[in-house]
Amino acid sequence: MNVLEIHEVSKQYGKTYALKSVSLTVSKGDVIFLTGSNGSGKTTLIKCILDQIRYKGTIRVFTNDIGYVPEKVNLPDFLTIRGFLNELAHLRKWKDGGLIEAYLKKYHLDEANAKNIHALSKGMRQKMVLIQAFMKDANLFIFDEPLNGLDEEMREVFFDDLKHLRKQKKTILIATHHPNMYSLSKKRVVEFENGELHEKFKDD
Amino acid sequence: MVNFMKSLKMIKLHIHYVFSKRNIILMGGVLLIFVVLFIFSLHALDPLPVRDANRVGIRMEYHQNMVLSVKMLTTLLVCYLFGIAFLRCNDNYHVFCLSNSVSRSLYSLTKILAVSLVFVLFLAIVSGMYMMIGLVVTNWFIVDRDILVFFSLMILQGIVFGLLTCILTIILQSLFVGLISFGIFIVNEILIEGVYEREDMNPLVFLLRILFPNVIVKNFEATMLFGTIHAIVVIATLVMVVLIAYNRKDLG
Repeated sequence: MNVLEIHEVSKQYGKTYALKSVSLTVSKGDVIFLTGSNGSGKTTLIKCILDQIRYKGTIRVFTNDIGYVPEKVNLPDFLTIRGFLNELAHLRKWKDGGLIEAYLKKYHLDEANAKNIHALSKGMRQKMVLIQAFMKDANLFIFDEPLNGLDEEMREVFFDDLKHLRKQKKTILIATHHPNMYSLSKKRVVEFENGELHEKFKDD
Repeated sequence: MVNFMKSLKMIKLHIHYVFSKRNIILMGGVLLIFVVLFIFSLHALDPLPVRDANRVGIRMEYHQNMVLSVKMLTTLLVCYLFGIAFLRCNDNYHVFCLSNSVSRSLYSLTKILAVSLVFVLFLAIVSGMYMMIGLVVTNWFIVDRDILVFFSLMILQGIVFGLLTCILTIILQSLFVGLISFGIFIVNEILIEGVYEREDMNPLVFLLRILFPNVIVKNFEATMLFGTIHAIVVIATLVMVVLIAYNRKDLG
């Protein structure tokens, strides 16, 4: 069963092609790594999937919701970690049931959860953004450079969460420059080069 | 009902973003300028008999300085607030909100409402300060209807120029476009100086007045040449343009 179908997608900025006729089919439970040098088109494709930017071609998403971790995002200065996650929980109608607390503890944010966001380090902010994605009851998860600012210990926690998602047959797309993330089994790695996409390898 | 509740939650989230550290410092700074300006306009440091003797002149000066400073500073501030709210690097939190149930239209509309609410709150504080300083420093100041009418009309005028900045920011993605809106406001103010009747206007002034309604203050009385309904229609039109532009433009 396909979760995502991308067919002949192109995106042009002026005369430069950010994406050139990109096609990709993603099935349920796939873990796909998007690799490639800076400016090769990874983030542009993600933005197309999320309908943030206009493009030529067709993208069909067969899922109700998407858990997303952006590369960069603006956060409200005067909300606490807990306050921010609560706001999103209300907006998205999450049934918290202690899940926020559990994630805060897991990512070592439980002691800092009363701090205002402007006082947080880059790593702490990144952990908060990861938590909001994991809190979503989505079938498709997209991570754009998820390891930004995370220390070794937190990277392991994040890998554990990815493995947990994989066990639940969730579909995962990760844009990354970190080859150590490929340690996840049964994955596909696709590489971008000047807006074009090439399948690099696929585990059976 | 579900959409109404969702809109309220969206407005609340946007307000948290509007009250960023930078914006709070800026708004605090502008409020401080108003306090100093109001106190000095009342000649608060002069001896009481001198102030009593010049009561009429001081009253006029206090009112005129208030009108000029409120028009200039709040228009500049509202252009900044609307501009920065829709600047891509600040607006990228739409990724947390946009989904099947929250459309771009709902997101941008609630954002406009949130920034407008903050602006109304700011004007309410400025008007409160104006009246309070007047009442505390003098024994002749009275709160009259004209002051409240002026501040109410300033809300409409501010939102018009804020929305104009908003449209320009969505299209051009630069904070400096706020200066274009502010420039139009200044030109409008200069051109309308002394022109209070439709018959006195040349076509350019007439067009500017139609597109961007300004508050006119004559003998303490504040009005809008084509009335408040006209200003509301202009606001509604600009909101529609914002929604269309926001739906068509790339967000990332």
